Amino acid sequence: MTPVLEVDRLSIAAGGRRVVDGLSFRIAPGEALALVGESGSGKSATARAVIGLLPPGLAPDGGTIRFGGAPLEAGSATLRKLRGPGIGMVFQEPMTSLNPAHRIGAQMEEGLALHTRLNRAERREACIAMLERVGITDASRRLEAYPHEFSGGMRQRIMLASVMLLKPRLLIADEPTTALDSLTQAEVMDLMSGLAREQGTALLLITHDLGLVARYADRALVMQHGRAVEEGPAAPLLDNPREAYTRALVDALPRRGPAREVPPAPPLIEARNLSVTYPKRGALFRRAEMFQAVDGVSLSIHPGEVVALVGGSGSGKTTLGRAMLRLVPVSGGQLLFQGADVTARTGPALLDFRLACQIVFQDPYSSLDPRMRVRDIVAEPLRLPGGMALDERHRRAEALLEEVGLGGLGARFPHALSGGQRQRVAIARALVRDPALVVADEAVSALDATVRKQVLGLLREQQRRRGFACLFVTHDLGVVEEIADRIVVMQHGRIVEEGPRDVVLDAPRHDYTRALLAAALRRPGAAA
Amino acid sequence: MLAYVLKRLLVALPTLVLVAASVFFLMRLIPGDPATVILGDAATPEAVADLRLAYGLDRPVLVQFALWIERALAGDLGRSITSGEAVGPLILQRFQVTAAIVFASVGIAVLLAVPLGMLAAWKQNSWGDVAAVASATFLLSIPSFWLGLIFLLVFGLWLGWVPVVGYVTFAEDFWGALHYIALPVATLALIETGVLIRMARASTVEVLRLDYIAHARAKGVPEWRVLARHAFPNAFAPTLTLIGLIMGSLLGGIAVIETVFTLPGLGRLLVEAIFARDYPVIQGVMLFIAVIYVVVNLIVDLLYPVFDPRVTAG
Repeated sequence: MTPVLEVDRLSIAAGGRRVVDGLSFRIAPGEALALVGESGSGKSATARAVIGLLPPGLAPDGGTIRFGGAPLEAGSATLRKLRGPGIGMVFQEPMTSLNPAHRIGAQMEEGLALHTRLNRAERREACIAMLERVGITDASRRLEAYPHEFSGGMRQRIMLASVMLLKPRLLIADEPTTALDSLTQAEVMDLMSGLAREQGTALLLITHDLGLVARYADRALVMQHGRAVEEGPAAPLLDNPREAYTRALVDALPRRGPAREVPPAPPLIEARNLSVTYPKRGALFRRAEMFQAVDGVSLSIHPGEVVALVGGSGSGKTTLGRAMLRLVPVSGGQLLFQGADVTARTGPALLDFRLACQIVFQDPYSSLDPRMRVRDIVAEPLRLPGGMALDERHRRAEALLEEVGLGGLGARFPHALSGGQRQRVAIARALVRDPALVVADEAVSALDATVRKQVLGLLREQQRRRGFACLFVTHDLGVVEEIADRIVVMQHGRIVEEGPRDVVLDAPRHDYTRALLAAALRRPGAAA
Repeated sequence: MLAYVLKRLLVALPTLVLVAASVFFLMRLIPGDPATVILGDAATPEAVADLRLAYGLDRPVLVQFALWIERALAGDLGRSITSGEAVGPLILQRFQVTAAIVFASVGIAVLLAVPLGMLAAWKQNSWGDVAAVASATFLLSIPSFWLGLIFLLVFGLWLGWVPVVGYVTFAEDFWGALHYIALPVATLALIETGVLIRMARASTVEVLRLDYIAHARAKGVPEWRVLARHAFPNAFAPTLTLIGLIMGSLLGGIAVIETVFTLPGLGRLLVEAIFARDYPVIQGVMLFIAVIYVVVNLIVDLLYPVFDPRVTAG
C-alpha cells in the first residue's frame, strides 16, 4: 500500500545550521506515528515542512516529501489545495490558534467553503454535527460565539472539529495538548484518535511526552538534534529502549519515591474556611456578580512537609496557593502562620510574613525581569529588610546559583538561559532567604521531560536539605507521585479528597481523583 | 450602548472642568494684559482701566472664572476681546476648515498606509519591506512646514495648478475649496502615512506570527484571504487607537500647516488669540479641543469591538 506520507532524507536549515538533518520516515494510511523529542529536536520543524508552513528563518535544505506517492513542493498550488482536505494540522496553543476576530462558525465553515461544493446550509449542518461530535453542547448557538468565550480545552476541541471537518488523509498534531491540564488532555487526545480512526486519517503526533506516545501512537520515532535516534512500534520501544537517549527519556517519566514520615509538629501555615471571590463582569450601575474561586477551604501544612495541591484548570488551586501567601485578597476565613493570624496583616507585619514564604511561578519566561542580571534577581530578596551590603548579597546569590547548578552564570540576563535554567534561577530566588514555606505553582509544567526531572530533583534535594515546607500546585499527578508527602485534590473551589500520597494514589475515594488518575500519563507499566 | 455613551460623556465632565480651570488660571499667569496689548504702548492708564472694566478684567480672578463657567454651561463662550465676535460661532467656523483638511488627509493616509504596512509585514525583510520602512521613516521626519512650502513652490508657483493664498468654504464654491485644500491635505496625508505605515506594519508582523494565521494557511486559505480576512482585523485594532490619537491632536489644530497655507483654521485662531491675550477665545478653543479628544476617543472605543470582539463597549 502506498504510504500517506513519505519523508526521505529531509533536511531543514536555520541560517547555516541544520535543525533537521537527513530525516526519513513513512506513515501508512490510518497509522499513528509519534515524533518524539525535546525542545530543539527538530520535530516541530519537520511537521511544518510537511505542510509547507515553515516559519520565517527556516528553509528546506534537501530531501523529498511525498504525499500519497506524489512529491510535495513547498509554495506550490497543489500543496495549497492539499492543505485542509489532504493534510490537516492542529496547533499547540489553543489561546492563539483560533482567530479572535471571527465567530467560530465562520472559521469552521471557511475550509468547507474553500474545498467542497456544499451550500451554506449544508456547511452549517456539517459544522453543527462535527461540534456535537467533539462534545460541544448547544452547537447551533455556539457557532455564533467568538473564541474568547471558550476555555482552552473547548478551543482545542473546536480546532480539532474544524480540521476534521475536511476529512484529511493525514492529521498533523503539534503538541496538541501540552497547554491543557491532564484531564482535558486525555479527553482531547481520546477525541482526536477516535476521529482519526473513524475517518481513516493517518496521524503524525508531535510530542515531548512519552506518556502520550504509549497511549496514542502505533509507532514512535525518537528525535534528537534533528536526527532520528530510534524508531519502532511504540510499546516495545518504550518498554525496551535500545538507545541511551530513548532510555533517558523513559527514565525521565515521574517515578514514585519512598514514602517519608514528617515529624509531628504544629502546623506552619493553616487556612481555616478560606474563601476567595472575584467579581464577574458587572453591568452598568449594578453590582457585579461574584465568582467563588475558593470556597471555604481548610488546609494546613506542617514544617518540612511537601503538600501537593492537585486539580484541573479552574479548580481554584492556583488561587488558593496565592491566597495562602496573601497575594490575592481573601474574602472570608482565616489564615494562620506559625500560630499567628495573618489574614488582615498590613504594612511591615505583612512584609515579614511574605518574606518567610516564597513562590516559584509556572512560566520561567515571564517571572524573571528581563532587564536584571541573574545574580541581581537572586540577590533582590536580600535587600529587605535591614539592608545587607551589596557585596554580601552578591556573594550569597553566587553561592546559591552554584548550588542550583548555575555556577558562573550570575552575570547573564534571563534571555541567555534555557527554560530549565531560568526555572533554577526562580528557585534560587525563592530560597535565598531560607523561607519556611515555598509555593511552587506548576513550577515544572512548562519544561521538557528530562529538564523537568532535573528541576524536580533540584527542588526535592533543596527541600530535604533546607527543610522548608512546600505547597506544590499542579494538574499533573505524575509529578505529584515523585515529590509529594500528602495530596490534596481540589474541584470547583473545594477540597474533595486529602490524604497521604500512597493512599490517595493507590486507593482514591473520590470520583474526581479517580478521573485525574486515569488521565495522568504515568510511567508505562506503572500506570494504575 | 446608549447608556455607555452617556456614562462616558459624564465621566469626561471632570476632565473638561479641569482643562477649563487650568487654561483659565495659566493664561492669567502669562505676563501681559489684554488691555495693554490691544491699546498698544501709548495707552493712557484711564483707557486701560476703561477697557478692563468693559471686559470684566478688573474683578477677582475667581469671580471671572465662575462667571465664565456659568456662561459656558449655557453655551455662551463670550466675545473675542480683539474682534468682538462671539467665540462659539467663531470656533465652529474655523473648525470647519481644520476638520475638512484633517478628515481628508487622515482618510487618505489610512487608505495608503494600512495596505502598504500590511504588505510590508507580509514580505518582511524583502527589499519592498525595507523600502516601505525607509520611506515611512523619511516621510515622518520631514517637517510639515518645509514639505508644505515645497508643495506651494512646485504646484502653486511653478506649475500654477492651485492657488497659493486664500480659502473659500465648500458651501461657497465646492471645486474652488477643493483647490485650496489640496496642498495642505497632501502635506498632512504624506506625513501621517509615514507614522501609520510603521504602526500597521508592526502590528501585522506580530499577528502574522500567531498560530491562527498558520491555522488558516493549513486549511488551504489563499494568501490574499489570509491577509484580508485573518490578519487585517487583528492587525488594524492597535492602528485604530493610533488613528484616534492622531485625529485628536490634528483636529485640535494644525497651526503650522494653516499658517503656511494661510488657512483660517482653528490652530491659527488659537495662536493669534494667544499673541493678543484674547482670553475668551483661548479658553473657548482649549475647551473645544478637550471636547474633541473626549469625543474622538469615545468613537475609537465604540469602534474597537468591531475589530476585536474580546473588547466590548459598555
